[in-house]
Amino acid sequence: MLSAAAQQMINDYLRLPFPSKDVFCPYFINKKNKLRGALRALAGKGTPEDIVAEAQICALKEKMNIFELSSLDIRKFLVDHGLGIDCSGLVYHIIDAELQARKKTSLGRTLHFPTATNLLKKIIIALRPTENANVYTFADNKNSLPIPLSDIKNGDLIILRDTGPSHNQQHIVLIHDTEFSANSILIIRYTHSIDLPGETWQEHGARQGVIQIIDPDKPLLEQRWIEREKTGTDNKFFNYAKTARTIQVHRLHCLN
Amino acid sequence: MLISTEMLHQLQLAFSWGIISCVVSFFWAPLLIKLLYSYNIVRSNPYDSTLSIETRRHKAGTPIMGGLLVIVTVATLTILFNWERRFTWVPIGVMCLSALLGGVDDLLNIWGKVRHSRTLGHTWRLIKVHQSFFTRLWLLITFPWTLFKRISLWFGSHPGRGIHVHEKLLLQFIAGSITAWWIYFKLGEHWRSVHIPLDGLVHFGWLIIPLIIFFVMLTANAVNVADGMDGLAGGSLIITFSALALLSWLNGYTNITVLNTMVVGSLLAYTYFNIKPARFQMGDVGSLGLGALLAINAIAINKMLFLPFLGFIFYVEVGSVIVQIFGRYLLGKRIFKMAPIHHHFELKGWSEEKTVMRFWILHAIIVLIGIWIALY
Repeated sequence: MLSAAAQQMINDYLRLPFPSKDVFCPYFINKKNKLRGALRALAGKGTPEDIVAEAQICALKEKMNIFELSSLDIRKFLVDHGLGIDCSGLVYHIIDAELQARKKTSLGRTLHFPTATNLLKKIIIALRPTENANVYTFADNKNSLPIPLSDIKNGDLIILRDTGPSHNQQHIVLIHDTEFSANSILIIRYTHSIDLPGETWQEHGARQGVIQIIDPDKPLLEQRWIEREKTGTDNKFFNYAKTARTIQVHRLHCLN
Repeated sequence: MLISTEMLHQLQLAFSWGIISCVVSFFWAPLLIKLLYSYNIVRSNPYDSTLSIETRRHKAGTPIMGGLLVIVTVATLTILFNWERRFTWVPIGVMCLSALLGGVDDLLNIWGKVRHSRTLGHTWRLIKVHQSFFTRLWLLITFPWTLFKRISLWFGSHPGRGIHVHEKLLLQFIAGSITAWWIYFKLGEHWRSVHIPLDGLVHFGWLIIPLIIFFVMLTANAVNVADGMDGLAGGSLIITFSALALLSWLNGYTNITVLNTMVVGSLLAYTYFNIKPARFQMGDVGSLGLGALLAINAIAINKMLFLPFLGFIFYVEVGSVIVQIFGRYLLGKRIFKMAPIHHHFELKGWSEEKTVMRFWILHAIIVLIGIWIALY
């Protein structure tokens, strides 16, 4: 299991800290709006607290009290106002929480950013590491290396490259728990945030799933994927993952 | 310790005018409130989004421009009874100029139209493609001004009505420049030095000019920003101007002492009607005018470096806005739930009364410390 702090971060994305409400964090990626110099909560990179606080402020500007809305209305409000988390943002904050708990350091100071090619970019990245950490950053060899399925443990990442209908999307999934079942099958539990093709505003966002490693010698896509109680071709995420040109499990150097 | 007869006389004069100012203000405050209601000069939702905070909803419909009570009373009494070329012309003149700026802003916020300025990208495109060469040339020459306008937008929160931030900054710069001209060229050599505690006078020469402009602009905006809760600006200004009155009396500036006590007296009447639930609010007319006057009076008695103490809570408020802006653009995070900082405490659950009174007390403590240091 990951540390308590990382678990809490996961729980907060799965159920945002709106008092007495059950709202899971929607998916939002800044590629659509291309906001620059914005609050990270508005760029798909906020923590659960950032998102809730920003939702409160946005609601005030519209003369509403967000805490008086129903869970569904809050969800709609978040989606309409571009408040959510993208895949790399979610992974970033969970790993950051894990690092803070384990090694008392932040992920921003530990990661190597391949785009930091000049002084200005280095300064920008130093000030805003969350916004500049994407799938390529995590997949960079200086940050992580591929590992075999038999070696998977908590904190590892599943990286999907060139995925999606047009093979132009990158996606990252965090393995938050591993265990062996009664019949010695390795069970991987993962967390990620995604907006799958065909999903409505009520469905996309942070979620969890399970991969049962039936045969460790076979590729990941030939294992058993279960998400939202759907398996096989009924599992939308599995269908999405199948479109990836490469799918690998990586281990971050900072968590070694 | 015995006080000299002259100093006692100055003190008596100052208290007398403070009381007179208070009585005059109390006398015409109900008339002002009535006038403000008659002309519908009231706070409304479109330009004040904080009215959506549950604890602030009742403020919608409260008259603004209540600061006129202090500005008009003090200006009138000073012109009639304390009009001294050397020490009161310019402070009152700059106060009225700043108050005029604030008053126009208040009125435009109610009756004005939304004005948008061109974005930098739009301007640059016009420079490249506009069919008229002279228009392209003009846009190119004025591009630094356009850049200044867009950058200054970061520091404003207006929905487009009222005087824009760059216009305010320009007019405040003019007010600060008038003050600097008066201090540097009219008051004499002594005022080109700044009093540093435990050290004495340090000669700044012409460097004092940008310092004066900076402090006048900063203080006017600081009081403006702090005027966001019932009684906050009024009560804090009473403390500050009382301290200024004491310091100016101790240093022998009779006219400025009387001016400060007039302000205190009038502010007492204003704050009586401004504490929660407020009968009126100060508006920019009062906050900008009194903020400028605060800075000028401190500078005139050679206590410029004590402004961070004398105007402590105002600088904290404006500082919180600056920190919030930098946090937003540099770090992508909100440092406070909302700026200025009094809204942050409000959103944390503090009642307005608790926030205001605690700010008063904190301000009074720091002002006392400032007075104590100034005595050295």
